[in-house]
Amino acid sequence: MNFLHKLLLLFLLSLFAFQTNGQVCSNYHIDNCGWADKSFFYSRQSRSALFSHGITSKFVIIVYANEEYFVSIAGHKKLGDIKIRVYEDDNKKTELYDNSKYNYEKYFYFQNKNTRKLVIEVTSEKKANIKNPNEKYCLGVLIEFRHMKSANKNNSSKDIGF
Amino acid sequence: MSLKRIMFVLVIAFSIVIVNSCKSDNSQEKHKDNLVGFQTTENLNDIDIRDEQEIYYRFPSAREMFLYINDEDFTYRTDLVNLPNNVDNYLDSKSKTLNLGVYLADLSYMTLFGKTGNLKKYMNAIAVLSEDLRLEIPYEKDIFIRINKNINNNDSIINIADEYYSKVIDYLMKNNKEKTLAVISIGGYIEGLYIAINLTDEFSKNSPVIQRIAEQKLSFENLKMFTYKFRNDRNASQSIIYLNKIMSVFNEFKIEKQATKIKQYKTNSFVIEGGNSIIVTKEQYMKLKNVVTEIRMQIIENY
Repeated sequence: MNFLHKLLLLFLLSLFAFQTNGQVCSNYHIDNCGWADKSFFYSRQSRSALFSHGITSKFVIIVYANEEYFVSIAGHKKLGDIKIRVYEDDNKKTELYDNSKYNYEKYFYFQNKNTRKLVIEVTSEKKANIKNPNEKYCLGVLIEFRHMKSANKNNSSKDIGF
Repeated sequence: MSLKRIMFVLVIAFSIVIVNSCKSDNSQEKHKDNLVGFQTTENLNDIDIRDEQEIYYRFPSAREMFLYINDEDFTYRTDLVNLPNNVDNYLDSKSKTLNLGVYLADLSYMTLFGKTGNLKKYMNAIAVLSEDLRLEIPYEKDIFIRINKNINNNDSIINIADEYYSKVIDYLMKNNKEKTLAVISIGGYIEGLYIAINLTDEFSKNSPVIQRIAEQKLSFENLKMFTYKFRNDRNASQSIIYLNKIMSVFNEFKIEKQATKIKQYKTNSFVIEGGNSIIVTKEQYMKLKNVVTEIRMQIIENY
């Protein structure tokens, strides 16, 4: 490889690094969140985003009646503990779940009896004495669902045997 | 200085300029809190930052909407889908984008009922429209090769069609083409609602399917909020007009208020009971059917 080829390679590598750097973490929840068993379907309401330390961001999802949902969260380790809070999207903002009360559990299941809107509120840990507080990292929320009929069918096997 | 050294310095300098231009953009981002979190997209130039919503709205895909329709309870109707030959009639980007959503919803409907006869024609229509819209669906050629190889295997064709649907939607999401996704979703939602309404023969107050159709009000609300971010785009703003017409009927539905109750089973398992219910009368339902049918005709006939 002559000098000019090396230069060209260096240039292309730097462009590649630039492009990779520019990519967002749209696939993060698929690659990093825990998944439920195969009776659940992937919901396209799942979402990944960039987070810096100590920020709160929320999104609204629709959950249908008589469906069971699985919600799982994952974030870059530098973001620390990730708090996920779920509340109803109405005037009362009734809180339904807060993982900070349960040692920052990474996933939860719920059955839903009535179609409703839920707010998923995610907060990254605020850390003191960090080098670059504005540094951004990926975080994802995976949502899966199944019809309660299939849930019951799946659970019925638990009633038999030892 | 030798030529080699000059070249070296130039290349390094050029690389630094490029990387720094990226860094400079990032540093600007760091000063704006609204550029992190779920509400952000790469299409920020398309959004009026002053009006940027604090909350990001998600909505189920047209296929998720369809999953409540069980093929055991309904008879498949061939007359409810848009003809694949109509693809040649869509010349402007609005009709191409909306009808891409229509064909994707039709594809979901056919795969749900296991109808494979015309799947390839519909996938072709989707491929034509996505190419016209310059959407580069990954491994599209491979998918069509696999379809041709499995033409006599219904299960494989259904799986491949499902995979194709996922690839199109995932491509739009992963490549931050959310403005296009919004318009495609409007086409898909209207087609999905049209099919669901027409699969149910008669109105029955206690029908779970009619109840689920009424509950699409919430999904349409979220889709409208999502699309509203792109209201400065001509295709999105014209599609919002369709949504508004449907929303005006949905808004007539009565909401019965009840308190929400939580039953906690484990630290990470609970049941949500109660909450508001949507009540629809026969007149309101028929009005919804008429409005959805009229708008759907406007979309597929392109007038």
